[in-house]
Amino acid sequence: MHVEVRNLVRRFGRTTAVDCINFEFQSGDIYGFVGPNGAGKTTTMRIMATLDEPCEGDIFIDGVSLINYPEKVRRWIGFMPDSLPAHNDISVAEYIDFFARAYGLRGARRRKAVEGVLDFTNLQGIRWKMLSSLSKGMKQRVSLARSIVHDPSVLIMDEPAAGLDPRARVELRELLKILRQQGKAVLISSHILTELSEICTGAVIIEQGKILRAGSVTELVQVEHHDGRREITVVALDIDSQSFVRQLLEMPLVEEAFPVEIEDVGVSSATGWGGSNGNGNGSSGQSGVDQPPMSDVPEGEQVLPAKEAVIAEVVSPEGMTVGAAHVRIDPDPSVSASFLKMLIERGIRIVEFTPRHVDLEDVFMSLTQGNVQ
Amino acid sequence: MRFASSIISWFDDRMNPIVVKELRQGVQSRFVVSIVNLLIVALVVISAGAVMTMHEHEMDRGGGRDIFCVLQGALFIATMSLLPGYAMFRLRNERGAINVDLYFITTLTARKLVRGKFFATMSLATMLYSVCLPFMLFTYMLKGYDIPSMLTTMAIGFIVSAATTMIALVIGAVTSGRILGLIVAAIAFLMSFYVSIGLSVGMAVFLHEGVLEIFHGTHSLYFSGSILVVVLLSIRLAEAMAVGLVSAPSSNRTLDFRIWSTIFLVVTGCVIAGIFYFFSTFVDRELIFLWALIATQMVVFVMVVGISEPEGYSTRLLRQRPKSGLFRLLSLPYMAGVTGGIFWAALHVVAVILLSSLAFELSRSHYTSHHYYYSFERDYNGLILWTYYMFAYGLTARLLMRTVLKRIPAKFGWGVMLLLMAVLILLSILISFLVLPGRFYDSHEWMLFNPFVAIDQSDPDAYYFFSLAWAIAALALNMIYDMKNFIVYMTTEMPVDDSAPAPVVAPIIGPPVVNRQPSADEGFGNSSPASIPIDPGGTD
Repeated sequence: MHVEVRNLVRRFGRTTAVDCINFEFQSGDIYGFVGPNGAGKTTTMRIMATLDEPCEGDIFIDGVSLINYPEKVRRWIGFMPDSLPAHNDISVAEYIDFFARAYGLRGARRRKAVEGVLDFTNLQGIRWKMLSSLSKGMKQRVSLARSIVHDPSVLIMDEPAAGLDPRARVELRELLKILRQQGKAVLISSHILTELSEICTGAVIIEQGKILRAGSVTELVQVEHHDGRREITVVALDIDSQSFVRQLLEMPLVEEAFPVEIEDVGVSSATGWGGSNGNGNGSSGQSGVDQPPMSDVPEGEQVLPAKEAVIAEVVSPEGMTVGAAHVRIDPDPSVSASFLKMLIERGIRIVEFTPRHVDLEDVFMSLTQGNVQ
Repeated sequence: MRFASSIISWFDDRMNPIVVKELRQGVQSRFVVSIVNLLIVALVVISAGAVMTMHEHEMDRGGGRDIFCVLQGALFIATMSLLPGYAMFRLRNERGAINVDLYFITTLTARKLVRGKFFATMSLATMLYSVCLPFMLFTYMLKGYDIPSMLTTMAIGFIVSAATTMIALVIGAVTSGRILGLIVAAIAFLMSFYVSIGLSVGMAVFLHEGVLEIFHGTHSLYFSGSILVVVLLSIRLAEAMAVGLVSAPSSNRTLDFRIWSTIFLVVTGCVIAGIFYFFSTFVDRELIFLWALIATQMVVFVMVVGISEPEGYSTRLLRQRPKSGLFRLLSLPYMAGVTGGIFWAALHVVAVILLSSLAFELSRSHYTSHHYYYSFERDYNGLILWTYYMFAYGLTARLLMRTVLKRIPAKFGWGVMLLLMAVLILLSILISFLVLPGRFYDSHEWMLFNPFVAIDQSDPDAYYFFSLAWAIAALALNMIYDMKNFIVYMTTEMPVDDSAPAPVVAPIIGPPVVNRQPSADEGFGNSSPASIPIDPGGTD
C-alpha cells in the first residue's frame, strides 16, 4: 500500500489548519507525525481516516482517491483516535465484535478476527469487562484492537501513547513493531519523540499547518547532520580546549572543529552542539552562552562560527586540564577510525570519543518554533 | 440441531451490526432492565390488586375493561415515551465528535445506523409488548374487551410508538449545543408523554365505541388504510431526515429526504383525491385544507433546509450525477446544495398551490353552509400568504448571504432568515407606530413585511401582491448565482484518472517524489479508479 497526501488544505473559518501539505509513506513504514499542539496533525489524520474532508487536495491510497471513494478505502484504513469513546453497557469482546461486523466480517472469519486481535493486544483476560470500567491504558489497547480488527493495510494512530504508563508504552511499541513486520503502513502522531525515534522509519514534521520536513529518519537526521557530515565530541586530558581545537583543525580529516563548554567529562555530549536550524547556526544550543561579536575576536585567532565559541577549560579534581571539542568529519566509518588513530599517534590523551547521535527530537526541536495558530 | 445453529448463524451474520450492538447494550442497560422490571411489577400489582379488591358487581359491569385501559396506558407510556427517549438519548450521546465518527470509518452507512437504532428500539418495544400481552389478554377473563379489539388497539399503539421512536431519532440526530439539545429533548419527551396519555384515552373511547364496528364498512377501511399509509410514509420521511442529519456534509445527504418528500406529497395528494373521487359525500374541505397545510409547510421546511446548504457541489456529489443530460437535469432538484433546494422548493410550492387551489374550487359545489365555507376560504388564503412570505424571507436571506454576508457559513441560512424576519417585522411595527401612534395596526402599508398581520387580513390583496412579487424577485436574483451552479452541475466533467499527478507545493526531501506517473498495472486491483463503481446512494 502506498499512501500519498497531496496538496491537502483544510480551513476552519479564517484559520488554515492544514496548509497545502504533501507527504507519502508505504507498507512497512512507521511514519511519525510530529508537531506542536495545534499544528494540524489531528485534522490531517481525521481527513486520512475519512472523518473529515479537505477544502483542497486529496489523499490517495494505492492511487485510489480517498475523497471520491471513501467507502472503498475505509476497508484499508484503521484509525485509532487519541481517546476511546464512551460506550456504556458493552463489554470489550462485544465492542470489538461490533466493529468486526461493521467492517462486514462474517461467521468464522469474524470470530477468528476478534479472537486474533484480543490475543494480539493481550485483552483476553478482560474480554467480558465493561468498556466503561477500563483504565486509560486498557482503553488504548481496546482502541488498537478495534482499529486493526479488519486487518487494515494502513494504520493511522493519533497519540496512541498518551496517558499510558511506561510499561504500556513499551508494549505498544512492541505491538507497532510487529504491525510493521506484517507490512502495514503506519502513521503515528505522538509528543513523545524519543519513543518515535525508536520505532519510526520516517517522520513528517508539521507546524502551523505546514510541513517543515518529511522523509525517512535517516534522511532527516542526515540533513540535521550538516549535510551528512559526522559529528564527534572529543574530550582530551592535559590540553585546554583552545589549543585542542587548533590542533584538530591542523588535521587533514577534520573539516570543522569547535571548542565546547563542559561541566565535566561525563556530560560533555549532553552539552553538545545543540540543535541546528539547517543553516549551520546552532539555534537550540544548551551552552547558554551567546556568540561573541566578530569584532571581539583577536586578530589571527580562528573565527568560530557557532555560539559554542567559548573556550572552556575544566580542571578535574586531580588538577588535570580537560579540553573538549566538537569535530565534523566525513561520515565514512573508516575516516572516523583514521581520525581516532591520528589523535592517538599525536599523543593526545583521549578520554572520550563520542559520535553525536542526532535523533528525531533534535530534528524536531531545531525545526519547530512552538508556534500555534 | 446443526441446521438450526447454521440458520441462526446465517441470521446473526446478516443482522444490522447496530441492532446487535444496541440490543446487547439494551439488555445490559440499567435503564431498560428497570423499565421492564417496573412494568412487570406494575402489571402484577394492578392485575392482582384489581382482582382481589373488585366486587362482583363491579366485575359484572366490565371491570376487566378498566384494568385493560390502565395496563394499556402503562404500556403506551413505556413504548411511546420512555423507549424513544432512551433511543434519542443514546443517539445524541453517540453524535459526539468521536463516536459517530468511528462508525463512519467502517463500511456502515448513515442509513444502517439510523435503521439499526430504530429496529433495536422497536425490538425492545416488542419485548415490552410480549411482557404485557398475557396480562392484558387476561382481562378478557374479567369480562373485559373482546380479544380482536384489544389486539387492534395494541397494534395501533405499536405503530404510533414506531412513529415516536423515529421522531425521537430525528431529534437525537440534530447536532446542537448541549443546552439546546437538552431543552429540545425535554420538550420532545413531554410531547411524547402527552401523545401516549392522549392515545390511551383515545383508545379507551375507541374500545368503548367498539373497534370492530368502527372498522366496519368500505369508507372506514379506506379511511383507516389511508391513515396507516400516511403514518408509514411519515416514518420513512423522518428516517430520511435522520439519515440526512447524520450523513457527511459532502455526501448527497438531501437526496433521500427530497425524494421521500415528493413521494409523501404525491401519495397524500392521491389519498385526498381518492377520497374526493370515490366518497364525495364523505369529503370535507378540512381534508383539502389539511393536505394544503402539511404540503406547503413541508415545502417551506425543505426550502429553509435548502437555503442552509453549501453553495457549490462536492467532487463526490458531482460523481453521483446521472450521465444522461435529461436525467441530470431532472435530478438537479434532488441533489444536495442550495441550488437543488431552491429548485425543489420552487417547483413543489407551485404544484401544491395550484393543486390545492383547484381542489378548493372543485369542492365549492359540495358546500351548503356559507359560514363554514367562508371560514376555510380565509384560512386557506392565510396559509398561501404565509407560504409566500416564508419564501420571500428565505430567498432574501440566502441572497444576502451570497452578496453581503459572505462570511456567514451556509449552514446558518435558517438563522439569517429568522433574523431578517425579526428585524423587518420589528422595523415595520416601529415605523407604523411612528406614523400612526396609537393606531399603528391600521398602517397597513408599513405592515407589508409582517406575515402575522398579513394572514389576519380580511382583504389581503395588497399583501398577496407584495409577498408574491417579493418572493419572485428574490428567486430571480438568486437565479444569477443558481445558474452558475446549474452550469457547473450540468457541464462539469470529472477527471477520468484520480491519481493523475499534481504539482508539488510543499518541500519533500528524500526518495518520496510526488510527481510520478502511475504505471498501467498500478493502483487498486489493477484497475483505474474511474472503473470502480460509485455508490449511487451516497448515504455515508
